[in-house]
Amino acid sequence: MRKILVPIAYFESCQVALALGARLAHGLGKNLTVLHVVPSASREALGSGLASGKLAEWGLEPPQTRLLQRAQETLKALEVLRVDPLGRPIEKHALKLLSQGLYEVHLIGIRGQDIRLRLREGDPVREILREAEDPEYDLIITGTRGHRGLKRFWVGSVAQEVALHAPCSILVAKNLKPHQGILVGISGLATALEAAHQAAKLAQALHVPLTLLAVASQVSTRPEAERHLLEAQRALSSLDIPVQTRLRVGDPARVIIEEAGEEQIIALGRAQLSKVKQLLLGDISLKILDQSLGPVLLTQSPRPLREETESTLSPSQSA
Amino acid sequence: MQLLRILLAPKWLIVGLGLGMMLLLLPPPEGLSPVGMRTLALLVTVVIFLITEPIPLPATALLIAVGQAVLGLGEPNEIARSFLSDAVFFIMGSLMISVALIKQKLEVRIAFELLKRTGPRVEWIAFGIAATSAILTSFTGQHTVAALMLPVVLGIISAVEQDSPGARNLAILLLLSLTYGSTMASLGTPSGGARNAIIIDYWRQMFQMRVDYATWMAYAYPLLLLNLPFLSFILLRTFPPEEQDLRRALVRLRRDVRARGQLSSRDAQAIFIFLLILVGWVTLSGQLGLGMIALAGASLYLITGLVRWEDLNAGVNWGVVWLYAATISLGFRLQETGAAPWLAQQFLGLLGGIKGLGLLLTTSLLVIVFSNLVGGGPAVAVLAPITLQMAALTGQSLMAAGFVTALSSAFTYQTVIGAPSSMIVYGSGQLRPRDFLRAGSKLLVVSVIILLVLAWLYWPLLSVSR
Repeated sequence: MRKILVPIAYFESCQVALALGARLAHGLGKNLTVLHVVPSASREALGSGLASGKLAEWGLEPPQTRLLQRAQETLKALEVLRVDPLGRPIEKHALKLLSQGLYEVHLIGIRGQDIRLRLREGDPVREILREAEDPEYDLIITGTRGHRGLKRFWVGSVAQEVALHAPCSILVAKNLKPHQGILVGISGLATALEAAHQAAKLAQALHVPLTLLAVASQVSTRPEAERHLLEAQRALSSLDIPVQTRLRVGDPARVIIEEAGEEQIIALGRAQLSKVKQLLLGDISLKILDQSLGPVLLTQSPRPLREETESTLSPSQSA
Repeated sequence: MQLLRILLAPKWLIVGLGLGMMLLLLPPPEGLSPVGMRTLALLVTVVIFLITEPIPLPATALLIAVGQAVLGLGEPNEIARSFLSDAVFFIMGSLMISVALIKQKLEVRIAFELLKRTGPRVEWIAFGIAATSAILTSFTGQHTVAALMLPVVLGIISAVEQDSPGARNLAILLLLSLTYGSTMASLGTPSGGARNAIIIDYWRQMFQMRVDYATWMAYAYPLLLLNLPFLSFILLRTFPPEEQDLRRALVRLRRDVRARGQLSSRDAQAIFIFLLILVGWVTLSGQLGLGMIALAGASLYLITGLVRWEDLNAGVNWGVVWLYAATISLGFRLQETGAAPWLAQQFLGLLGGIKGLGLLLTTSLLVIVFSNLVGGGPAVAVLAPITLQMAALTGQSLMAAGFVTALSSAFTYQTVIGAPSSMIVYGSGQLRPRDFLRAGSKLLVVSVIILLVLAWLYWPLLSVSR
C-alpha cells in the first residue's frame, strides 16, 4: 500500500500539513507516517537517551516525544484513528526505547491503514530524505517555517532542501488553508500530465475544485498551449470530476503564481532533468516553489514497488 | 539565485578552508616560524568549523589529526600520541563513571534528603536544589548531576502544577537553580569538569608545575561557595515565583519518593565505589594522574556489574571524546611550534602593556566568549596555551592565569550550548534560550567580579603559604 509522509516540527504550518495528510490518508486509503526529527546534540558528551530514560522512569513525559503525542491527539480529534471502547487510539505495536533514542508507535486508521508515529535523531533534511527512500512513499507533505529572503538564505529551509532532493511528490504547505482549490500548470510535457492526474486525485479526495492552467510564453504559441490544455482535460475525463480550464499568455512562472495567489495550491510536474541541468537551466517548478506565497505541490511519478517490479520483470526475464 | 544558493550552501566550509589556505600562502610574519604559521592556519580553520559546524564535530576532530600530518606539523606516531594524555583518559573515565551512576536510582535518595531538609518555602527549595546540584557536581561532574536531578526538579514542578497550573516563573526558577548550580560548580575540584584536567595537564607538561586536588580546591572552592547565594538571589529577582508555599505539593511528592523505596544495595555499592574514586583523586592523583584513577573507577563499575560495556558504549558520545582529544593535541602543537607564544605576544601588543588584574579580566572575558561559542572544553584546550604564555611573558603568576582560564570557562550561563547541564535541562523542553540570557548575564557579572576579587586578595595568600 502506498504511504504518505508528514514530517513535523514546532511550527504552526506543520499542524495544518498533518491535518491534510490525515484527511488524504483517510480519503485515499493510504498508510501515513508522521516523522519528528530531533537534532542530535553533537556537543553533548553523554547520549540524550540517558536523561530521557530517567524521566520515563519517573513517569514524566520525555520532551522528544511531546510533539508526536500532540500529533496523535490531532489525529484522534480528526477521527481518522480506530479507538478502543474507552476512546483511546488502538496501538497495533510500539517500540518505546527512549534510552536508546527509539520511539515508534503504530496505530490503526479507520480504514485499516497503518498510521505510524516515528522519532528520529539527526539532521532533519537528511533523516526526512532517508525515510522517503522507501518507494512506497508517493507523497511528502511538509510544513515550512516561512523564512524569506536573506534569512532563508542564511538559515536555510528544510522544506526547500527536501523538495529539491525528494524522490517522490511533495506538497510544501506554505500558508495552506482548508478547502483550497488546486491549480495545475500545464505544459506539453508528460510530467505535467502526471501532475494533473495526481492533483485530480487529491481534489477528488479533498472535495475541492480543480483548475488547469496553460501559459503560452508568446501569442504565437497560444494554439499549442490550447492543444496541451485539451489533452490534459481529455486525460482526466475518466475521473469524473469537474475541471475548469484557463489559458494565459506571459512568463509562465509569474502567471502561475499570480493566478494561484494564496487561494490555490499550485501543482506542477517536476522536470526530469539531471541535477546539473536543473541548476544550470533553472527548473521552473523550483522557481515557483521559491517565489509562491501559497502551497506548492511538485509531482513525480510513483516509484515501482518491489512486487510490481518483480511482476513486470518476470515476463521479460522468462523471454 | 538557486545556483548561487546551492554553490554557497556549505558557506562556512568554504570560509573556514579559504581562510586557512590564505594563511598557508602568506609569508610568516616576523617572529613566527613557517611551521608555526601552518599551525595557525590549522587553528583558524578548526575554530571556524567548531563555531559554525559545517561538518559533523567528530569529523572536525579527525581532521585535526589528518591536518597536522598533511601540514607536516609532526610525525604520524607522534600526532597519534598527542591525542592521548591523562586529561583525555580522565574525560573518558569520568564519562563512563557518569553513565554508571546515572544507571542507578540515586536520584530517589537525593530527592528524599533534599525534600527533608528544605522545608516548604520556595526560596529554600530553590537554594536547596542549587546547593545540592553544586556540591554533587563539584565532585562528579555536570552530566551526572543534571541527568539525576532533572527528574527530581521536574517532579517538583509537576506536583506544584497540580495545585497552580501555569506557574511558569516557578518552573524556570527551579530548573535554572539546577542548571546554574551545576554549571558553576564544575570549577570546584579537578574532577568537576574536563577543562580542569586539561589545565592541570598543560601546567605539568608545558611548565613542569604540579597542582594537586587539594590545592585546586583551596583556590577554586571559595568561588563556588561565594557564587551560590548570589545565584539564588538573582534567580528569585529575575523570575519571582507565583507560589511561595509548596507544602501541598511536597506532601504528595514525599509520599511518591518514599514509595520508590530505600537505598538498594546496588545504589550503595555505586556510591561506595565513587567514594573510593574520590579518595583516589584526592590522595593519589599527584602520582597516578586524574585519568588513571577515573579509568580504575570505570573498570570497578564494570567488574561489579553495576554497568555493562554496552551501556557505556551507548551512553558516551565518543565523538565528543575525540573532539577533546583533538583540541588538546592542537593546544600542545600551538605551544611546540611557537604559535602560542607568538599569538600571546600579539594579544599583549593589542592590549597595550596591560598587566595584573586587567590582564586577568581580559583573559577571563576572552575565555567566556569563546566557551559560549564552542563549549568550555575545546575553548580551554585551545586558549590555555595562549593565556598561560601571556602570563609568562608579562611575569605574572602562571597559577592565577591558569585558574582564571579554567574557572572562567564555567561562567557559560548565557547560552544553551555553553554547558552540558544547560543542554540537558534545555532538552526537557521547558526553557527558552531567552531565559538563559536574562538570568545568565547578571550572574556572569557577579561571577567575574568574585573571581577577580579572589585573584586579587585571596590567591596571593595561598601562594605565600605554599
